[in-house]
Amino acid sequence: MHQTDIEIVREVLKGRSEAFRELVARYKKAVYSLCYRMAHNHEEAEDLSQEVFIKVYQNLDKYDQSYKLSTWILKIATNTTIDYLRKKKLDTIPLEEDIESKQDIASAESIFFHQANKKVIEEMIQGLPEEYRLLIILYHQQGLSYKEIAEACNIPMSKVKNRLHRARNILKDELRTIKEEEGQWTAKQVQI
Amino acid sequence: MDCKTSTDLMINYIEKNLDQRQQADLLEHVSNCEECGNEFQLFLELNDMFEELELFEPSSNFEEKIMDSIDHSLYLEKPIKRRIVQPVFISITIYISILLGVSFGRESTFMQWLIIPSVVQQLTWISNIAEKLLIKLMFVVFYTKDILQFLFELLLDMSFGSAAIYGLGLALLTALFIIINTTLIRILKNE
Repeated sequence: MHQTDIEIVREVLKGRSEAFRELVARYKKAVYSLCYRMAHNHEEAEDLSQEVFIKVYQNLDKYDQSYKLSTWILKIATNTTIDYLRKKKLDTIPLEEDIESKQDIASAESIFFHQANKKVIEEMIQGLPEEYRLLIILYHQQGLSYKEIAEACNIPMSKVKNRLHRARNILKDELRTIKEEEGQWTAKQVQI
Repeated sequence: MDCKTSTDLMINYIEKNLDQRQQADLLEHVSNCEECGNEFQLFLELNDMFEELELFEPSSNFEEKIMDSIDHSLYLEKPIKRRIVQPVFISITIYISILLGVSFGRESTFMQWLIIPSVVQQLTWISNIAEKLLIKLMFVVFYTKDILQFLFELLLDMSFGSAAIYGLGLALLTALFIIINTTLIRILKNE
């Protein structure tokens, strides 16, 4: 019988810790994907994900059941990855440099562009500043609403909308640049 | 519709937040305006790419690692009754058993029945100690009651009472100002 998240939480809080395994199974992909896209390293993403789930377990008695469990878990994941990035002081690639690297990618893969879409979007997202990157991941990959993102990131909903809007414009402009470069490269090939 | 409005509506179109009229206006504009048409096409393509974003899977033994790391006794809690009553009950049972066991070994059957008054005597001794403890506890309760009574009589005294009331009022007002100040600062920071 399929248990709801709340039912599993109640089981764990009654002392049946084995029930927590089901929660891990349900949310491990979502948490790991978020951590990986923020840290861009599989080993670090695995360590971060473990840290997230341990925090979830230890704070399960503080979980407010009026909120969705998925939002609460992603909030912990968000805070954990942001703290990690701040400690590691990872710098995102400045936009100008990123455009050049995208031009290289476009030049090399333009013939198979439609197959390389996945790689392109991943690298475009990696190039975003971390606060924009996080919102894109939470909205487009995790499927959270504006309200849920605002709760997860502890920022007003108006800021979520503005930042998402700006992030999409940045990505759209990058995509335009890639397509223009692709067009130039294809034209060159035709001339040759 | 102008180009600025159409750009603002493009994201809403992708998020399916437009009514039919707005959708129709937007589609009409992008089909007539080359620049907006290209912009719209880029947004649609970006949206398709977002939908292809995959979820990554951690290592195969990820769940095992988590279950090995957590404290399985964290949410285990024995109820108070089991914590106190059970050991006491067991101790009494063992104590009586030892008394009976030692006595049965030495005496004849008739004499064995005389053990019962001895056991009752032991239990009476235990209950006397419990009674003395209870009296001490009641003493503490009455003592506390006397202190509270004294404080109450002190407050009823006019000069002291007035000073206390003024002091309390000032403390409440200060606390209220601090709360308002902290809340305003938090609101301003969030904006």
